[in-house]
Amino acid sequence: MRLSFKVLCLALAAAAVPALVLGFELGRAGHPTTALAAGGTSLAVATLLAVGFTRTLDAPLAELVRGALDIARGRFGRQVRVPGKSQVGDLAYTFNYMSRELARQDDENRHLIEALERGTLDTVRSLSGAVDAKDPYTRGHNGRVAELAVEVGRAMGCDARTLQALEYGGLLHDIGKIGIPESLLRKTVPLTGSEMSLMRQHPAIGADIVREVELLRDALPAIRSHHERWDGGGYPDGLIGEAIPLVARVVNAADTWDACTSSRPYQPALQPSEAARILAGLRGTQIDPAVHDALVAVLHRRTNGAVGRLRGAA
Amino acid sequence: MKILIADDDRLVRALLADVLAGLGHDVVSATDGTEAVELCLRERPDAVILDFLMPRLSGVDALSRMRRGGRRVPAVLLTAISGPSVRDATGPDAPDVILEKPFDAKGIARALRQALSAS
Repeated sequence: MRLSFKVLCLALAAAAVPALVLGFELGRAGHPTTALAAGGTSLAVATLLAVGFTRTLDAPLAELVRGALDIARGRFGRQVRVPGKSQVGDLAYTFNYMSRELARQDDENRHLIEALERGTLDTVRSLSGAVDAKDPYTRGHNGRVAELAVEVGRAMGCDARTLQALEYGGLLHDIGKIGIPESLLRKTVPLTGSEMSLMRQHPAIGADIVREVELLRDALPAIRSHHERWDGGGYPDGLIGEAIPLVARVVNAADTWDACTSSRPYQPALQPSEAARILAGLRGTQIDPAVHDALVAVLHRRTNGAVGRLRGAA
Repeated sequence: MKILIADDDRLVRALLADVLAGLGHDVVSATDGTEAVELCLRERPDAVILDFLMPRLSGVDALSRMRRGGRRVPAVLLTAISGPSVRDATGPDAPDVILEKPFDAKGIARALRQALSAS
């Protein structure tokens, strides 16, 4: 029941008895008109007072309700007008204090989370550095793949969580190379069949290394499946098309691009235009067409149009 | 005597400092509850005047931390909301005096006297 209605009922009930008694006495004394007027005036005054009083309550209480709903939506710091000194004023004043304190604590928590995330990223980077140390030919490769994968993910409209998985996945996609002999990693001549099959274990080894790390859970598919091919001819699981996790498809494309454009034991670095031609040839066979197109759009921006123009001409 | 005052409102701090200096006291001041607790432990004031609703730590929580060490420092709690509601919110470490805002110089002097004689 509305507060105003309750107060009105109370006021009318309080005014009713005196009004009736007065009316009865005046009526008996032979003044029925005066009796009606007195009774009516008494009830009217009671009604006016009740309405006037509740109006001073209604607005601040409604504002407090709106404020509470705003805070429930996460708008900490929301302040309401304090309607003078009364218990309602105290409530509004305390509400404002609560709201400011919530905003401050929320801010503190945000900073803590940021510090934790920075710490996590530093840890992941140092893990990634372990692969770099083992395989000097690919120095900086993991960082570049992570950066490009995040840009491609952003171009594809991925959410923040997926972007983080792309960053961690890009940094750690080759972590399994820790389990591959250095002599293989540094080889400049083509690998033999048995060497190749050993080399091809690195995604699975990498996935095993980080499997138990909860905060790398979203990045795990990028590590295990970054050598899968869109047409199903990849390893280790031979997944086809969208069965390959998106993060893995993105890291695969970024990895291929960076491998083409940086020098390796078995090849010199290619020009961006040449690398773009190679990637276009892999579109739909190795690389997810949608990922390929997003990658080209990103490279188009990065190279001031050189890459995109070439693809358009092809 | 050395008095610690704590209020997030600069004007209230200035007013308190003026009045207390006029009464011949030394004043140290803090802008929130946490700072007040640190200052209290370092400066060991003879009495504290704390605002109730301060950032980071309320005056009531600050007081209970100040008294945790076992020393029962005399305390005046300032409040912009009515005394009875504040009285309900205080636990075992109740302040000696609750002074409602707005207050005047006489009010402060009287509250401080009461707090000191109560302890």
